[in-house]
Amino acid sequence: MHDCESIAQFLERAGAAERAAPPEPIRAHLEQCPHCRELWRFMADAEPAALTPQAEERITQTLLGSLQAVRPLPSRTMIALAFMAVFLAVSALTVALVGWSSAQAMTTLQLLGMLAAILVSAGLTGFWLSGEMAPGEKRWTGPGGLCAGSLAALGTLILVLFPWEAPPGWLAISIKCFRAGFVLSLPAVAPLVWLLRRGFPLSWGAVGAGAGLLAGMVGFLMLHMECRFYSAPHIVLGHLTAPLAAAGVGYALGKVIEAYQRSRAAEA
Amino acid sequence: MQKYQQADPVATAELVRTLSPMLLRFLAGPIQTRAHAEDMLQECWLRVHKARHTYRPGSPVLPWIFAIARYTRVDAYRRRSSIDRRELPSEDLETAAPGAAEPEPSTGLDLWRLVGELPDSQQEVVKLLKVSGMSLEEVARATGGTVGSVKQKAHRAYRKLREMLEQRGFPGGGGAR
Repeated sequence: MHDCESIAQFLERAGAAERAAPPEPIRAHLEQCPHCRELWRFMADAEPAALTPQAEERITQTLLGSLQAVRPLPSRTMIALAFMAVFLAVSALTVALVGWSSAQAMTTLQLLGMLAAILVSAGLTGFWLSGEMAPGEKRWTGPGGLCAGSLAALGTLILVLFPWEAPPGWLAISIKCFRAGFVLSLPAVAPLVWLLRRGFPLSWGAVGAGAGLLAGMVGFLMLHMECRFYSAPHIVLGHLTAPLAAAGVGYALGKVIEAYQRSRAAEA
Repeated sequence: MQKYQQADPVATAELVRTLSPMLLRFLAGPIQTRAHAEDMLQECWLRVHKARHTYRPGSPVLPWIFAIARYTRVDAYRRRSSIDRRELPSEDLETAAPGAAEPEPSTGLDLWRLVGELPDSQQEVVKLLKVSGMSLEEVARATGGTVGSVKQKAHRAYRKLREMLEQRGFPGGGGAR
């Protein structure tokens, strides 16, 4: 025999067809319990609201007035690959410009371990961003979760791979590295925005945070290849804060865009 | 939807005719006028029109379109809140002007009032599950959340609705209509 709690659980899982014709054990409970019956009836009845013919006509004519064929957005994987290509191209240019002297002095594990983690983080961020470009795409986490997850994973790896020591002057060097990392993230912004413009992001704040994180990864990668100060506190504070700050700035800029769009819509 | 992307006027009109009633029910709230809900619906269709290239052929239409509707609703709510903060209360004016506050579509159902008392996120999930007939996963896609969070919100909403029905002695035999 079903109780009220299991009716609510069944209602969660039930599709429209099951709600319209509940199975026998459920029906037995519904016959006995007026409150569950009321709730079930409410959920089973789709009862769409009637639209006035004038309103329907007005909407149709508005759409037909500017109806042109459009090219659908490429698949999510293709867009993610495009984001990755931008990341790799800008990173390669930046590293070529600044140098990779640190790469020769690091151990293979430090060099390749961090490189692999950066590439995986950038790939995941690109895939996440590709989902934000179209409404109704599957989303496994929000922008906060994405940034926290990526940066926590990178931070943990830094603590494992690099010595935990803080030589004198590390704080000043960290600030210098942070500045350099942040500034060298900026060249990635233009191609990322160019890609994002093709989509229809519903939350520019989220997209800004994701794009900022990806751009910040360029700066982080450059610092990894060039900075010779191998100390975990320095790398966390001076290198890892570059993508964090870039994500924060991206989020703030996205929110400004949202506010601007809202004010324009209100004026219209 | 694909024909709409290819600029077929008949398919466009058909899409508006088929989906508008569902969208209107989702967009309408217990305190809005019909005119306001229809304005929101028009705004929603304009956004759908702008975003039509982002629909990927073969993927479900409802999560895509309801995700846009959801943001339209949130934006309208924010705009409304900011107007309400600036303006003086206008209840007196509304009662003085006949027809100004025409009720929203089919508010005859008292359960809609109870749904209106739920927290916003739970209201949204109940409306999407009820109005669109989407699955939990599709609702998760439309709301940008996970299936788990949608399930949790739906569960809490149903429990709360049942409690409210019990507390208020709601008639069992179709008193909601």
